[in-house]
Amino acid sequence: MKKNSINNISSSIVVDTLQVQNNNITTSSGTIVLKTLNSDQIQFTNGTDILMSMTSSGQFTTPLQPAFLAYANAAVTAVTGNNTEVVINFNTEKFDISNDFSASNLFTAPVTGKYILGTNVTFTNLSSAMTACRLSVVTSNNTFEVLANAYELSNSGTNGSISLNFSCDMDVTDTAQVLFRISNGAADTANITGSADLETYFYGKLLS
Amino acid sequence: MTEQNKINKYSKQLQVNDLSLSANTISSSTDLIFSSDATNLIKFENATVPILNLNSNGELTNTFQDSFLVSSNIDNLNVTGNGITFTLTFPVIKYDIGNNFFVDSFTAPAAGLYYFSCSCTFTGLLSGMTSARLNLFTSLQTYNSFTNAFKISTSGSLGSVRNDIITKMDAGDLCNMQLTISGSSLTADVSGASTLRTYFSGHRIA
Repeated sequence: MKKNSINNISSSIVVDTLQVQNNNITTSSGTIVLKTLNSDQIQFTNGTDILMSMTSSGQFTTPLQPAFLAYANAAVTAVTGNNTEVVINFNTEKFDISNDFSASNLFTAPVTGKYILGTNVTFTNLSSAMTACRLSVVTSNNTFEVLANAYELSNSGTNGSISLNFSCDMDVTDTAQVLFRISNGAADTANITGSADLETYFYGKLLS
Repeated sequence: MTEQNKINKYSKQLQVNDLSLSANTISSSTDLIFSSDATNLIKFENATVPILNLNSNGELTNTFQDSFLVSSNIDNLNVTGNGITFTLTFPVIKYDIGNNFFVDSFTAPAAGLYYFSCSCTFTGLLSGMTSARLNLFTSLQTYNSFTNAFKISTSGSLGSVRNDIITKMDAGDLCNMQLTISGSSLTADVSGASTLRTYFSGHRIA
């Protein structure tokens, strides 16, 4: 086998078992090692945008990996309590890498993959009759839900929270949305709270 | 002065400025940068199998990263309530990348850090069933989440308890979920449904 050759016919460069040809770097045996010394980084870029970076300390970052955190910064009043299910709005974005969160309530998967999603919803102004609630995250593939006694989660009807998180599969353009309902009350008098401190929020990230 | 842009047949090395190709190693004495412009991908493959894709938007996907999502679509009746611990069962496999989920337990395929999230919904509670513990068990560590089972349900019907962690695992370590409700008789049920109210998800994150 020829080694350390530049072949202008096949447009390839061969160094021992490492071959550079067209747009491919391949090896016929062993592990491909990318190596840099001292405090230098290994970076993967698109033009000047850093897509992926590994520091000499082993810190691995993907600054453009899709991720979002949105929250409600104000209360919405009298929306549930008598079994009315509401789509929770998160009107403020803390971050939304790649702009996949829209209309204050909808995450759309930009690529097929596995995602982590999580939410926390805080409610208040409950009557003692409001003894059931359901928090769900509806994705295109599945509906995840937790159930509880809403009144007992609160402090005599004031400020209770319920949360849900998981990892899941999403196909490109699949969506995820948070729904919540409180039941058994005489009327829809319960509020969803919002604040600059995050008490009603929704987050997600592409894992792989 | 450093020699550059040379082919050295003795060291089996091609050097282009700071970039050096030798044996199976691509190295640099400064930052090592791989760049693809426009909408092109940077891919890592094993033969023709895609291992890792990095697209021009910075979306990194590794299709074969170990992960799973399982759930229960049936009720398990009279499995706890008197202090008996029930290891949760998950007859529905939504996905199991790496085939690491077997007989209601996840086995770590490699040492690393893993994310787990689980939720258990119970029903059929009696008023004396005031204690519930959802134990996320791993070979190295147990993680407990407690609640008052009867109180968080609606008069004994349908309450949920959850637990989420990032944990270190060695290859071959196990992870499963165990529910213990105490205070009365063996009459409490674990609720399953087509919606995911009793589920277990996990993902290798590092």
